[in-house]
Amino acid sequence: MNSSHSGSGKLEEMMDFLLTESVSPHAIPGGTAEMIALKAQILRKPSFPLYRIAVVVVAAAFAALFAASNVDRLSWLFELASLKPFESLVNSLASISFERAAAALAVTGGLVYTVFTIAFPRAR
Amino acid sequence: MISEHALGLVTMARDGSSQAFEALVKEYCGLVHSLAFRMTGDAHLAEDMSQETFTRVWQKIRSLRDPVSFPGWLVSITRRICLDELEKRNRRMEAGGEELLLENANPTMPPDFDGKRRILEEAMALLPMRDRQLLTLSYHRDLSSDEVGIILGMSPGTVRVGLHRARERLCGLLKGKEDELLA
Repeated sequence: MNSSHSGSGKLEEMMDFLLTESVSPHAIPGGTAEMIALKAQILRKPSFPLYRIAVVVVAAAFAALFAASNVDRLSWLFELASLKPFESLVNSLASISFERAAAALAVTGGLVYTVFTIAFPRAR
Repeated sequence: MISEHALGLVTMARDGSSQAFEALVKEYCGLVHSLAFRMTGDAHLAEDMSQETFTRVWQKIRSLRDPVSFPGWLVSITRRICLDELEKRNRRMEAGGEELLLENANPTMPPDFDGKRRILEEAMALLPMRDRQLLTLSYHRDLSSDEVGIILGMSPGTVRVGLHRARERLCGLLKGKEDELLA
């Protein structure tokens, strides 16, 4: 009885030792960790995904269009920002209907987003 | 609880130090690889999963708010990657009309595992997935039973009881191999 208990105790000790060793830093062969670290650094994707840039560009375009379509009401803002030289550009943009331009931008934005997420799936 | 040394490495890696990241990989590669191997039962796949895990870690480490939570965060990423891969494989097998693979009774061992490690892994492979994960995570010094519980979605009490039963089951599977293990 005693010997069987002692045998079982030793087996448990060995089992604990092996389980601890199996998750320790030297559980894998030398060189593997270095290789993994190196590859991880090579494979690292840009931390600022391109699709976000696309979203920012589309949002900025929407803001510009909104400003252009409300050019009369926002004229004080352009004067304040000394944007007089851009008045002709703003006026020509204002000639486009806001609804049409917004719809076109929404479709373009959606397409850009789809293309980016398909082309760079891991960047998400 | 994470060691001071590892905590310093996480902080430096988060600030962009590639040397600190390399040291972190060395520190935790054993844990990540063992977990991946025990979840997938395939040595080559486990290496790929480890690679994928550390690539994602290096990519996202700047978003880690509390360095103390690094071990749990790392293990969660490893589990997610392995579970996604297993799900993909199971879907492929289902589509091919093959039998669904839930347990990995015949693991393909890495060539560098010695005799005792092979015996341990063969016995581990016969345990349910939950036991394999419990035993792997609970034996790492940086993971408390509370953290293991959070990772596996179990209460601390369930972790303790589950671990006790998993140890008993593993010990039972190792009986009869004493000569080789205690030699």
